[in-house]
Amino acid sequence: MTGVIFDLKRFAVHDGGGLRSTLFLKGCPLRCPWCQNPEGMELRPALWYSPGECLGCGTCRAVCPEKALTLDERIHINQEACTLCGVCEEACPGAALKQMGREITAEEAAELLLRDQVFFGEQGGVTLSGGEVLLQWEFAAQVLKLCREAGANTAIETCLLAPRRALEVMLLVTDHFMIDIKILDSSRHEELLGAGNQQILENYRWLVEQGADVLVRTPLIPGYTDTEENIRGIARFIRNVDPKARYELLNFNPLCRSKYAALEQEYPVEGRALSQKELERYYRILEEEGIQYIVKE
Amino acid sequence: MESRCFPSSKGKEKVQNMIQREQIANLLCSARIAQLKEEMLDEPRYASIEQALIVTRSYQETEDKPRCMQRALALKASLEKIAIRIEPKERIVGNRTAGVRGGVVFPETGASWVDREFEDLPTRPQDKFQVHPEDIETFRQEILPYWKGRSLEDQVRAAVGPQVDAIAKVVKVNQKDHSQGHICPNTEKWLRLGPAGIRKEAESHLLQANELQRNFYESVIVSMEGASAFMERYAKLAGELYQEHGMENLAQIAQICHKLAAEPPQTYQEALQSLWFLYVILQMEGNASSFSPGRMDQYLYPYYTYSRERGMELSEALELTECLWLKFNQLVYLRNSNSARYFAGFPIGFNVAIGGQKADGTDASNELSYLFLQAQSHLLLPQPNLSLRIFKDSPQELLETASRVIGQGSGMPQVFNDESVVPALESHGVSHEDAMNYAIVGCVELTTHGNTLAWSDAAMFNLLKALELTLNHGVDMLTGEKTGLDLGDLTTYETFEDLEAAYAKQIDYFSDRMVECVTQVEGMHEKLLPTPFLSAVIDDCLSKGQDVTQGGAHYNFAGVQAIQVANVADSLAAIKSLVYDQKKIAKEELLHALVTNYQDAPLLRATLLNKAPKYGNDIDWVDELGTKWVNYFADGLKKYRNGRGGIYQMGLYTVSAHVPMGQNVGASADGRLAKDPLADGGVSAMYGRDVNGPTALLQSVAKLPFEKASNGTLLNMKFLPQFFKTPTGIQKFTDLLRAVCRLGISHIQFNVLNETDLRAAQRTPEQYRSLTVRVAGYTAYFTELAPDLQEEIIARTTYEDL
Repeated sequence: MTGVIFDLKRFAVHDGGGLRSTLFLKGCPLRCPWCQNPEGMELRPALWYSPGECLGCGTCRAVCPEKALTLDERIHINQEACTLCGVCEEACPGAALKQMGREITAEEAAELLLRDQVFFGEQGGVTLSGGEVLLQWEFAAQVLKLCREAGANTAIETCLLAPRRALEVMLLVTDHFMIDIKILDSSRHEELLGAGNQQILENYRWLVEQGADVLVRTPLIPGYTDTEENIRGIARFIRNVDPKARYELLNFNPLCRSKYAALEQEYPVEGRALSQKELERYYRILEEEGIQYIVKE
Repeated sequence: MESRCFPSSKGKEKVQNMIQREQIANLLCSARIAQLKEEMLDEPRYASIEQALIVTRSYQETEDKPRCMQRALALKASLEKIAIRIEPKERIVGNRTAGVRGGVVFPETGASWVDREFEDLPTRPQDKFQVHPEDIETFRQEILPYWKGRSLEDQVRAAVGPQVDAIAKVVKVNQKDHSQGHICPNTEKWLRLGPAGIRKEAESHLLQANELQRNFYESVIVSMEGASAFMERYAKLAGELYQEHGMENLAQIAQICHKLAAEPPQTYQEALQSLWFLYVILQMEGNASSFSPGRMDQYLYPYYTYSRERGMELSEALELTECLWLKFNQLVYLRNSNSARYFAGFPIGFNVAIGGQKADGTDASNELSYLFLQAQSHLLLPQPNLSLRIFKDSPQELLETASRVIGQGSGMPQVFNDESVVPALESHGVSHEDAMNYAIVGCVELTTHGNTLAWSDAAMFNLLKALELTLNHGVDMLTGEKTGLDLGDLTTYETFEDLEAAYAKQIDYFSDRMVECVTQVEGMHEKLLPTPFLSAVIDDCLSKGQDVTQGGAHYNFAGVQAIQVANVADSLAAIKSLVYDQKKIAKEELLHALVTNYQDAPLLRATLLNKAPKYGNDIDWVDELGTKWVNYFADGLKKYRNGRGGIYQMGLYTVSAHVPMGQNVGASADGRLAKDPLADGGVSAMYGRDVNGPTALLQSVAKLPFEKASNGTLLNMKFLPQFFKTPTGIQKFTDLLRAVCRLGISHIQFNVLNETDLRAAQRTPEQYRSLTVRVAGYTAYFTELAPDLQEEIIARTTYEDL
């Protein structure tokens, strides 16, 4: 069993309880315009370029057998021509070029995650994130099974856009589900993110019925998800599904802008992280809607 | 069944303890303490020649006496004559100068450097002191002429100057112009007997003593007479001030000091005052970097309990503790300008250890542990150097309380790991009981309590410089001088193993030279600087009738620091992978680039930086290169014996020496430019190169042989304050501490700050007077560090996104 991953973050402190190791699986069925990890959207590995690391020496262009690279004030990659042969990455004297995404076995993935097991303590463990974990659910389930057998607590971060069968299997190996409900209105969800949310909401309901440990999260994205109507609506919905629902609002984090610059794409979200005072306004909405367990960092 | 409904007596005790600790956490800093702190920080630091004058005159009058007696009489004269002062608000008194934080000129160890540098003291880059111009004149007329050729500095120079210079770029031999400190005296004994009791003990030994021993015992007696006289002078002054001001604390001081001159302490305040006198007098005798109180929460506990049972409030206990904490900041250490770069921030290292285990392996923490943390939390000053001992069963509450204090950013407490330290000490011949009772001296050096002379800072050995010489026919790449063995150069070593074999020989060569020099220096201390007062509080000196410098202590070590594992691992990893294995870089090309400091080879340098893996990222084969050479160095020390018959032991720390030591080293194969700093701390990764986060760094560090580094190790980590703001963050931080404990890493310390703070402090130092940062094994005032050290601290990897 193999899967495609694009990053491993050790000492993850925001992806569940305690200290964790988080593995990022590649590929996602949604196309959120604000995506924090655009390099994880496509399942297929691709060559990635970091302008900040580039010395501008042109070595890579000279060695590329496919002539897929051009250089002006920066390198441009012709992704269609690139065969991921690795010659440029090897030749670059800096750290500007690297293949984003690689295929590994579930055993290798578990080994990477468990390398820091000594740090997990009572609450920490391993987390799978993405991309979308459930896009490669068979791989994900195998990885978590191995981690669990080694005694580690397991968690996933998911948008829940997946067949029920995937959740049935994941439920057997996952201690904590951190799930995203981004936009409540299904047509708007489809319009902005590329798919409706009916399956997501049904999966959420099912997980709660199974007694799973679920934390619902909504990223506060200026101009997309941060309307009072949306947040109030989500709060009301989850409160109805689960009177004891735990709900966390994730503050907007504009640090991913540099990733879009590297991809030569515009980042469509204007705005900044909310102040504590602004957050408090949202917390009041959650309280008004009867959310008893508001999770705050 | 009763226990179900009612807490058992043990349960009751638990609840009471919890309530007490909560009360401690809620105690505020008193107005008295705030005022005393403010006054202390406002007072300018001056260099002082007062004691130097007294000592010089005493020596002139006692030249017919044996050296130990000369020293005792000089100390006694100082104790009887030095100007003393009491602030009206003080509750713990005593200092070795009338001003606070005076830089004491100590001609017995070094007068020539003072002569050379006296005028520069107010303007030198590191550790500035104000100077009274008339002092310079007096010094040159009355003090300097006597000590020319007589001081430790001059005698060492005459005896081994050329040998020391010949190896100076690889080995920095220490203790050449000041006394060796880094000693944890038997404070428990001092408190039990007091100066009068110790005097009696020495007198009883006199009866069966031979002549050499008699000199020693008599010098102890004279020292103790001086100590009692010193206390009486404070009693008298406090009495006079009481007449003048009528404040109750002054009357108390008068009564306590008078009592302590003749009797041991009983109450908590008496014990603190007695303890402080011990450390002031030790510094007056030795002027050494660091005499450390060690496990104060253990040996002061009976005095604390005595007073608590008689009605002392917790707030009272805290205020008294904080009075002592302020005192710890009033003694600083005047070093020469070069030494001040290596040990910046005039650390004097009153190291206080809390927590840890009792001899039977159970938790040793008590209310005093929490009171001391609360005092640190209130004052956030550089001293005492507060050290938390942790072990596998450390109570969560203690770790959380300590984590919150760490989060305040004073760099304290630093953390020591019993699980690693105890076995390291035991494997170097320390008994289990003594190892379980270990303390820390100075910055991070390990010791037992009250029975060791560890000579912890015998020398620093620059392993990266030895590698440079090995790559280049023994020729210094910076100066072109041949200072090492010519074993070939990078191009003549056929295989990587050939290079390693040559490197081993180079290390051996310098180790031999180093031990010869250290032995000579030690001999000079024995001859010139016997310390009878100190010897009286180090077990077995009195029973043997032998001074510590002669080997009177129960344990006699000498410590050498191996520097710097990260740069050695990174350099060898680059050479192994890119030159020998992958043949991506030609040997000639690399050697040329190193000798020319990468001047024409920026891409080659980039390749070395980016294409060779680095120490600190949990990559086994790279980390093992570091481990291998640390092992080699430590094992090489086994064949030597120090001047007192003990073994050598290795340390892995640099204090701030990674900056000046880096200045001695040419460009290195890890991509580091000539003269750039080495990795900081001791076992840290080169800054900015540990890119896989703190857990990967810790996993790398954990591969080092801590059981061989029994002289002490140092790991710096920098965190931003946000991490400590929430209970979840604190909980996660304690998870990290417990992992450090399980990983067997001996020591870790945390700088908690953000860049904005530091930039602001550079711009407006006056507003950041009390901003402290951990430089290395100790905390200094950030604004008092030289600009290059400030920059270096800012550049160190920050684990930002927490």
